Amino acid sequence: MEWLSATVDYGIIGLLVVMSIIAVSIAVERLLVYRNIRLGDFNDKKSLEIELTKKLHIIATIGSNAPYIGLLGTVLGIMLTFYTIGKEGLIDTSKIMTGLALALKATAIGLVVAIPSITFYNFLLRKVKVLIAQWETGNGRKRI
Amino acid sequence: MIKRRNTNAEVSTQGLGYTHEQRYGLITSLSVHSLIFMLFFALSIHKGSDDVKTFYIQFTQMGEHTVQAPQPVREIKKHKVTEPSRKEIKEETPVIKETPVKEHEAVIRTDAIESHEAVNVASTPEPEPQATHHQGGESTVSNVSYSVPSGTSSVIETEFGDSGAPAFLKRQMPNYPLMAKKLGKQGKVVLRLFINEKGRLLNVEVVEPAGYGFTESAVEAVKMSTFSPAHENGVRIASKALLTIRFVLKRI
Repeated sequence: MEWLSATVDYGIIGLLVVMSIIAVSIAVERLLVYRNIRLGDFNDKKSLEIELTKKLHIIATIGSNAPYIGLLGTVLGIMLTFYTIGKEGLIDTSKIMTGLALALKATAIGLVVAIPSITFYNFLLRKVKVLIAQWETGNGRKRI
Repeated sequence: MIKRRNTNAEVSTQGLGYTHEQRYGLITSLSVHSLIFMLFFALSIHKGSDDVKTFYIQFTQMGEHTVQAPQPVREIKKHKVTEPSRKEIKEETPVIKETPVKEHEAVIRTDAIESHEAVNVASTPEPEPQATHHQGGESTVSNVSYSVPSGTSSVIETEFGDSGAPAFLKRQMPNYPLMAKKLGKQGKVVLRLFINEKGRLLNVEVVEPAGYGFTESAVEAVKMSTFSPAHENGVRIASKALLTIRFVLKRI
């Protein structure tokens, strides 16, 4: 059961780390795109919107799902701890507590991934709204 | 600008295209994450090091060698293991000593152990004169030589403390397991180290395990240590060396 717990642990944490890297890289990429975009090049509002909101859903998905994945890791970790206790009949509290503490680590990492992702998402959404409003004011309402 | 943007959009819809921004974003993200990881590891390493300060580890080498291990002496040794008295420890010479902090001090000793194998005096005659050099007060007794199988003539079986045996170049002290310390448990771990002629540790075999994390601690410490190879008549050879690590608590 040791190897399974290690697999769950490192699998979940590795997944969360990959998600975090993806979210941050997309956020940085979007920021650069928004900074360099030329609103005058777009003739249609919808095409601008498509270009602006591209990939934002990935950040939103990561931000909303990272806590759940962390929670899944915690649940699996606690499950394994209880299974080990039941099987070996441990009375050793330190081992149990270590197992539970290590299980909670997954939730913590999930939250650590989720908080910046949600922040980035809201920040970028605001930028999108501002850019669309700028396009509208620049092109006039008649072309909508 | 718009042209580039549009072509980039087309490429990214195809799936395998890296725009300038994407590459930049990925690099930034990876560097930020690696920075966080490095910070985390640096902190955790620092935290681990001051964990040891609640007790101190005293290393004593007891090299008591007699060529043959008679039965009565073996009994005395067992008796000695069970009473880690203060007096006994004082008799030994400490090699490494750190600052004492609390009520307990942990003494980790390595010494030679007795073997259950057949004694072969002829194979390693060197320890015989050595036996007289060591103090007679200590009753720890060990075999020095074993009957080496003829097939493995290039590998000698020996134990730490013998002449010609491998020695520590850098000795990593084992941590006294916290739970064992709290419960007041002591233990003895016997390891057999396979050390090649270059002094590289190839394998560690647990000959006599002990509970409460003693075995893990001992093996971990041995893996972090470096050794000088065994030598026979001035020639470096590979060896299987027995190493006994004792975890002894003593009340200050």
